[in-house]
Amino acid sequence: MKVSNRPGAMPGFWRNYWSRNRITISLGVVTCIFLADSLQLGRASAWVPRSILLTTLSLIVLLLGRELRGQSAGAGVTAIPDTKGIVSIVPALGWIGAMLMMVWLLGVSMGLMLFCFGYLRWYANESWSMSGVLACSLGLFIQGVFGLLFKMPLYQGVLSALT
Amino acid sequence: MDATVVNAAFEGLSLVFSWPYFMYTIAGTLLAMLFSAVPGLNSSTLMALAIPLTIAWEPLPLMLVFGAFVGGATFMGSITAILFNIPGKSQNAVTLLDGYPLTQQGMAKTAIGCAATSSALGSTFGIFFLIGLIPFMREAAMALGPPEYLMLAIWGLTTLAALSGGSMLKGLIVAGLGLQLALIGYDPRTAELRFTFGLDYLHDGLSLVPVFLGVFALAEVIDLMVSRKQTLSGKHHIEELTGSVWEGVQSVFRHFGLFLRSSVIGTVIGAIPGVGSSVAGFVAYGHARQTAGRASRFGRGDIRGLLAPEAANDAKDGGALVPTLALGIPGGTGTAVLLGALTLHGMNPGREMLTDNLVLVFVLIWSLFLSNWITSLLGLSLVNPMARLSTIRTTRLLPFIIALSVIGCLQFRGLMADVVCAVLFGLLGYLMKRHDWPRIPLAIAIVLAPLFETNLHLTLRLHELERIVFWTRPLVLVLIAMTLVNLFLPAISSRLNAKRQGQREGSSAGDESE
Repeated sequence: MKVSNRPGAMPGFWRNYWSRNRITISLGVVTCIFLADSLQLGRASAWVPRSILLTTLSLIVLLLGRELRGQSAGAGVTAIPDTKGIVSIVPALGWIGAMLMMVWLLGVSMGLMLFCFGYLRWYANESWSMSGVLACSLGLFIQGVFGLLFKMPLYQGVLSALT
Repeated sequence: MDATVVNAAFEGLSLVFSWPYFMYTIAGTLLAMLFSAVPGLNSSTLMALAIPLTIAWEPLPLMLVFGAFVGGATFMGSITAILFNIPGKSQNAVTLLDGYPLTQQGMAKTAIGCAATSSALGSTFGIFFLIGLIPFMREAAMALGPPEYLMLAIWGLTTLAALSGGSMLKGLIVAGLGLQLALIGYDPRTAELRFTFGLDYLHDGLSLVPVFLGVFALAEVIDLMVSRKQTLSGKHHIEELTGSVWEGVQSVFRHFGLFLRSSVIGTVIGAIPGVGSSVAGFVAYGHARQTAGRASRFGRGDIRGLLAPEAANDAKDGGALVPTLALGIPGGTGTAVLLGALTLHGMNPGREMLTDNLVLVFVLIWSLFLSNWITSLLGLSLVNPMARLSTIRTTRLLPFIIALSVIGCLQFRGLMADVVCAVLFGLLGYLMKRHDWPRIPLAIAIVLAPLFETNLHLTLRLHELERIVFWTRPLVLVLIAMTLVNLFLPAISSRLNAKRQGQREGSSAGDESE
């Protein structure tokens, strides 16, 4: 997708600018939230955080300004919408979210075993048998090493409290 | 040398080689080698995973294991660089320039023999340099007061921001973000709550364990899940290797002068905080090339092109421990995580570490020494099985790494919220990695924040009471000058370069018009 590099040419320029600088802008927003929260601090507690936050915010503004100047000066800036990266991270995050949920509900051993089986079978396309063997091995590894050898109290999950 | 230092060195040595402590180093080395065989993972990931699992350990086994982690991971990356033209880590990128051509010429074992010998001797050089510096480091650490520690923290942060790769502005912003995250929780002076946003979980501040696990372990896990990389070598089986290991060993002694010079380069570069280990290898390679003469075959399989970066890469480990142990300013990612582990175990680098815990310092150093030798000896004797480590399928290991991360988080305080926090930091770390934002300043800022804040308040109080005059302390002035150099030198040099380039282009355009 070829878009104009002139600031006046909306919305391609700013879409391109956002796609290049979304991390910087997000960090700026986080810093602003912290800065707003620092307003409720007493004078003695506020000056160190405010100094750090204002310095960070100035640096973010400086970086954003530099990027804006660079983008305006560059000829034929091509916007590369980073949808592929976002799309490819969604399944990975979905699996990690599912893992968190399973551990929270079923505890470390059972939750991680189920996650391991599901992940290997449907995300990594391993065979049923390989997924089963590795999931059981993980369960044995957790119980053997952490439960028996190190005698660690393993998290049981919220469902165990109900039963 | 000071008798205290000599006694501590011998006591540390005897502890490292005593039963059962010897086994900690061996186990740590083997684990580090296994981890470095998984694409995307490294010793920092392993150390981040090990921090919560070793939280209840005594300091002695902790030092043994962490020393082994630092030393054990380097060599495996060289093997994949030599055999498959794939650098295991960024620091091994230079190894493949001459390592892989040697393999193509049927001299894989010769190249591995040379790399193993050069690595082991290089690390020995770096470690003895570190040991030689310890008496001076002790004296220097004793002379530092709150103003110096404050300026050291600021200088360390700016150095890491400036040198940790990519844009310096990004490095400074990340350091600022790290400092603001470290401020969460109670103010140490007024006990007022800061930035908790009504969450009880944040009252005690962010703990290093979920932050490090997220930024260094889970970020790599997410990256591996997204990239779906199969194996480090890209292969599922390895053919039998050819060449002579002994010839490779001899080559190091044939070019012993080059080996020594490369080790010095590696040690000195390693001691500069934030300078990536890949820099040491490339500088040593450049030096070897410059001094080789016209008949050299650099880039086409010259053994000197392998020897020099390998010596520098391993010598830098000893150098990197100098600022970490003496000043609490880490040399790189590995030492940053090590610093976090030491802090969590109540061991503060600097004066305290070099006086009260000197034996433990030597345990760490000797463990690093031993693990470097173990990896190199295994490299010499078990080339084929070590090469097969690079065929391990990542997808099958990932659930185990995730399990270690989750158990590590839960083991620390038993809070499910720590796991969620680690996942959030993992996502942040992944995004930073993907968008070329440096992660080291974030971790270091969180580690250095208490040093910064405490010494800032102490310095101001002492200044108010007229017990010190901040601006007349020589070391403070030196550190202020060094901080300014860090901040402004890159901008000035890039302006000068641009000006010079403009003048050159102007003169060449003038010549063409004539």
